[in-house]
This record gives sequence, structure tokens and C-alpha cells, in this order.
Amino acid sequence: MAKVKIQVNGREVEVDEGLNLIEAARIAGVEVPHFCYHPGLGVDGNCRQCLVEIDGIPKLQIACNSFVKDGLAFRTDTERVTRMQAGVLEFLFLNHPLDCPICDQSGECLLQDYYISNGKYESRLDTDKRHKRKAVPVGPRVMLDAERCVLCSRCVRFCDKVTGTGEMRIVNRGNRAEITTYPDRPLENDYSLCTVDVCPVGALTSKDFRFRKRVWHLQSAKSLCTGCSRGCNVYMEHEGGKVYRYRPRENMHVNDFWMCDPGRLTYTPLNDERLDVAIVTGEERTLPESIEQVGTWINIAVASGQSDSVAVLVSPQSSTETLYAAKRFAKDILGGARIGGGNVRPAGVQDEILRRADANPNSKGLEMLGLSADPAAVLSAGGTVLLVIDDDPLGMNPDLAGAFGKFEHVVYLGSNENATSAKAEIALPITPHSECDGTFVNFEGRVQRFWKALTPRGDSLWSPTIMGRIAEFTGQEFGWKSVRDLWADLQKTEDAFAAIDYASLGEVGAAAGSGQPASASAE
Amino acid sequence: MQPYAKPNLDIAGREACHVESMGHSVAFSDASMERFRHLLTRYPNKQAALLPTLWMAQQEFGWISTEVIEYVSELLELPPSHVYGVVSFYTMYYRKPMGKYHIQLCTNLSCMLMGGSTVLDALQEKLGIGLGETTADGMFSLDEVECLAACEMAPCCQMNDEYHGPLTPESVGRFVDELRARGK
Ligand code: SF4
Ligand code: SF4
Ligand code: FES
Repeated sequence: MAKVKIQVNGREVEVDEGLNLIEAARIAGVEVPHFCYHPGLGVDGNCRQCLVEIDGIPKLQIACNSFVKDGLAFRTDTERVTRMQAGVLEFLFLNHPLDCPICDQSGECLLQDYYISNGKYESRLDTDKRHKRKAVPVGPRVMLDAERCVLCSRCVRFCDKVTGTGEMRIVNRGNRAEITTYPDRPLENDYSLCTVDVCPVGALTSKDFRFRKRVWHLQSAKSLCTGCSRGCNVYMEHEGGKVYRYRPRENMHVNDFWMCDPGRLTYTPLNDERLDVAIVTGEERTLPESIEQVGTWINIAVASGQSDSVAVLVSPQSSTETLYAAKRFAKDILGGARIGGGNVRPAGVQDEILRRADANPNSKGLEMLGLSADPAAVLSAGGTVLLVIDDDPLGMNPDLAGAFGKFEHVVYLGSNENATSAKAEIALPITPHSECDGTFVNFEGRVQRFWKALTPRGDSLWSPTIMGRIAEFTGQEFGWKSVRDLWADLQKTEDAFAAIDYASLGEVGAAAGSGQPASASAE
Repeated sequence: MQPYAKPNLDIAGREACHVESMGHSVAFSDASMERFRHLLTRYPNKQAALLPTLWMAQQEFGWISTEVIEYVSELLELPPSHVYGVVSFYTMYYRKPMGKYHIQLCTNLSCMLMGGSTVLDALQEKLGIGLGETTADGMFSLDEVECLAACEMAPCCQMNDEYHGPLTPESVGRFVDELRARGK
């Protein structure tokens, strides 16, 4: 794209042609206060908070709807601009309740931010404020406080432009204007919680998250949603070892600025019903002694030349690293044990926006590693040891119990207590994607990273580490200390991953086959 | 400082969208449908025809009910919330049934100087209703408006599509009687 030279507050920067002044200023490191503009929803020009002074134009202009051209110079720091910003803010605040102490948006509210950066005036209102509806559910997942709304129409435009469902609307006018849904047409599309993200104030809040945590206590890690094979990029926000919410993270190659509601609520297994200690026949045990038991069984099978009596059942819910470690375990350590995965998660809803029917985050990774997705071949003949890694095959398909019964020992490596862990003779705790680094490959073959957010719970360990410790009992080892070590091997031994360098995956991932960071790859 | 006033609790429960229901579904007559189709040819897209379509609907059905909103939203392929947003923006779309004769009396500066308030008092007394109300027989609705741009006939009113003025407390009584006779 052609570049143009512009000046922001006297500083020269080079930016892409066609940008609006809010985006251009951002590149220059200058924040132009704004409510209604959102890069995913376009320009609306209704809030007037983004006024700037452009050289050669006598009146202040809205930055959102002014675009760069070569030689353009504008300022956001003149007295006229700051006075006007404070004035606009004063109007927006006229009927705004002072709810901050009880408002869930507090701490991530643009009204608060701009009042501190550009407002700081004394209230001049000496009449009553106008009251509107408070704490009304506008849909199953979203609460509305109409008094806090600044009528920016972002939520309206989200439902019009992104989901096309058109539930939200501004009705009435003047100081009676308020945001609402039509009677009997609640805000219940599958992406309704995105309205909470785009709402710059505390007018729309998430029923799931509200009042559970003050946002300034939260820490944020870059992660991925595991709800389906799209792999939407998210911020995983947590405190005290607990994940409180997912928020979509911009990735124009995958999910733009959005994520679906069901996906957003998939963080709960990271907190609840965790398997965090080793369980041997119903009793808690230390991890080393439990691993030793498994190692002994495996060693006996290997030493007696019966490694084909061992089977490994993997899952497209696992990270690429877990799958690769399992594959190496079956092929190298055991010298060719049966391995394969079950696509046991029932297919979900697929739509034209983000959601994919395949409810697994890593089906593509399984496929790229050449692992079959059919559990039948793995389970059919029975044997001595069945290693089940991740997810809950028995919970989702109780019919598998018969096939499981044909193994002498069933060992489960997982992060949650479930039907499979209950049935297994030994259950070993492994870290879910909140507690380690790793990757998933989405349905389009984009390899994407997730980052470790929390320290592993209880005795949990990274699954390749546990598999390595089991392998040690046969006198062999993987020698991987980190994801990078594992990836060095993965790149060498797996053709499908040969062109992908873990270190250069970055925040947006890379399309398999190209080896290029996303920006250079074709969509 | 003003003492803290508790918000009126009614506000918390009330629907921001309020339209009354006719209790039966509506549809344009063949003639209106013909006009509606012609209307569409004059705009770049269906959404642009919303205001005149609503106006036609109000003329045909008398007022804009939930059923009318939903009918229009189907005709124009718009979400009902959008149609409601537009209806609620303009005071000249009626969200409840109106009398056969809708009298809108100007009480702005010129009319007020020429005795508008005595005319208003006389009208209210004659009709037995207040502003924003409709007589029990459904014959009259009364509203005040800001300037009809007819100051030369102050004090004046608009009755449906007709302008009348200058009015006096006496003439307005006769006017009501005439209308009542017309409406029988
Ligand atoms: S919306 Fe923002 S400013 Fe308003 S009450 Fe909530 S936190 Fe405070
Ligand atoms: S509810 Fe939020 S997003 Fe919607 S118009 Fe109001 S302030 Fe904007
Ligand atoms: S962001 Fe420019 S007017 Fe709202």
C-alpha cells in the first residue's frame, strides 16, 4: 500500500494511505479520544469526542472521518482541541450516573479514562439528572444499564453489520434517547457478548463476568479459544490462579475482533473439576510413584517384545505438542504401538461468521501429524496398557467402555476429573492450555500459539514431560526441556511442519505450508 | 448540592419501547400496495422508503401499532427495532389510537400573544379532555404544538390537514360543534 508522510503534533510519521486520523495518530503514539469509531465497525461520527485541529482547516474536524493525505498535519494538543474535548465530555456526562464504585466497567471505561486525561471540570449541572432503566437483561447473556450509555451506537452497528440480526437500537430522542431491544426480540445472537466488548462504558455488561472481579486485579495472557476449530485469538484474563474471562484478541486472519458466546464461556474447565493430583485406583498418590507404576507396565511390555499390546488414544482437543509427544512415544519408545484419535466431540453449530461445526481446536494438527481420527483401530484388539490422553472419550461415548475393558490397565493423562479419569486405573494430571505454552492448528491450517498464563495446578506437569518420564523407565528419553526443544524435533521429523518456525509464529500465527508470519500469507 | 434523589422505580421496570397493539394483524389495501410499490422505485434501497411507508401506514391504519411496525418491517426487510427507532424519533407518528379529528393548537409566541392560552382553556373545557388526550367517543384528540408557521392567522390550530385561525374562545366552540356534526 502506498505510504504518505503526515505530521502528528509536529512529529513526522509515514503511514498507509487511506487511514483515518485516529489510526494514523495511533501509529504516531498519540491517542485520540473517541467513543463511536471502532476499527471493526467503521466510522459513524456521532460522538464528536475525536475532534482534532487540521492545518489549513479553520474548524475542528472529527478525526474518525478525516483521512490522511500526503503532507497533512494535525494536532491533538492545542488549547482549542483540549477545550472542545472537555466540552464534548461534559455533555456526555450530563445525565451520567456516578456509578463507578458499583459499575463493572470501572477500570476499563473510556469515560473514566477521558475524564482523567481530558476532562477534570467541575460539574455545572444544578438540575436533576434524567433517569433511565438500570440492570435490565437485554438478552440471556447481556445486562443493560441505559443511564450509563453514551449512545455511541457501537452495539447497534455490531448487530447490524457483523451478525446481521439487528437487535439493538437507539429509540426516542434528545435526552430521552436510550438504547434498547424491541419487545420479544432479545439480544440473543451467538455473538451477543461482543457488544459488551465494544461498549466503551458500563452500559452493557456480561452476566457471566459482572461483579466477579474488579478488572484492575486481572492479569492478561495471550491465548486461544478451544471451543471449535476456528481457534479465535483471546486474552485469557486471570487472577489468583483462576481464569475469569476470555476477551477476543484481534487477529485479522482468524477472528477479526470477535468471538462467539459459547466459545467465550469455554474457560470454565480450566478452573473447575480439575485433576490436579495423580489418582491410582481411586486414591491420591504422588506423581513420581504413579509415573513409576505406569513406567513399569510399559517397560515390561517393551522388554517382552509386546509393545503392540500398548495403545495410545489421543484427542484433537490436545495441543500439537501433546500430540507430537504421544506420536513419538508410540512410534519410537514403544516401537510402533497403535495410536490414533477419536473425534468424539459432537459436531456443533457452524455459521457464516466464525463458528465451525468441528468442536475441536486441533483436528488439523492431528491430521498434519498423520494420526488417524478413528478410535476403532486403536482400541479394537485390546491389550496390556491403554494410554488415553486428554478430553473425555468415555463421558462422551459410554459405549467405549467395552473396548476399554479389553485392556489390563487404562492410564489417563488429562486436566479434568471426568468419566474417563474415574474409570482409569491411574490418572495423571497434565497442564491445560492455560498452564503451558503451545500451539493449535486451526481448520485452515494456521498454526497459532497460546501462552502460559498460570502456574500449573497441584502436581500437574506438561504432558510431553510426563510422557518423557514414563519413557525413562524403558531407558529412553526425549530430552525436551521446553516447547522450543520439542519444536526443533517436530520441524525436523514432520514434513507438514517443516516450514514452520516456532520462534517466528508471533501473535497471529502462521499458515502451515508457507512458513511465513500471517501478514505475508494468503487468506 | 441537591440532596440525592432516588430514581423513580418505575423507570427501572419500564420498557424503553412502548407501542400499543391493535390486537389484529394489518395489511395494505390493494391501492396502497400499488402506491407502496411505486414508492420503492423512487429510492435506491428499501430502507430509504421507510419514512413515506410509515406515513402511508399511518394514513391507512390511523396510527402506528406493534402490528404496523412489524408489517412495515417485513415489507422493507428491516429489523422491527429499526422501524421502532424511527417511529419513536418523530412525534408525528402516533403510537396510540387518535381521535377522528386531531386538533393541534399552537401555543408558541405569536399565538400566545394573540390569546392562545384562552383558546386552549376553552378547547379543553369544550372537549372535556386535557392535552395529549382523546375524547371517549374517539372523535377528538388535542395537542399543543410549537409554531405552525402561520403567525398571520394567530392564534391558530391544525386540524388533521387543515389550518384554522385566527381562533377565539367562542369561535373554537362553534368549530368543535361543526366538526361533531361533520363526523356524525
Ligand atoms: S460507565 Fe464508566 S464512568 Fe460510568 S459509572 Fe461505569 S465506570 Fe463509571
Ligand atoms: S450501550 Fe454501549 S455500545 Fe451501545 S450505544 Fe450505548 S454506549 Fe454505545
Ligand atoms: S469517534 Fe469520531 S465522532 Fe465518534
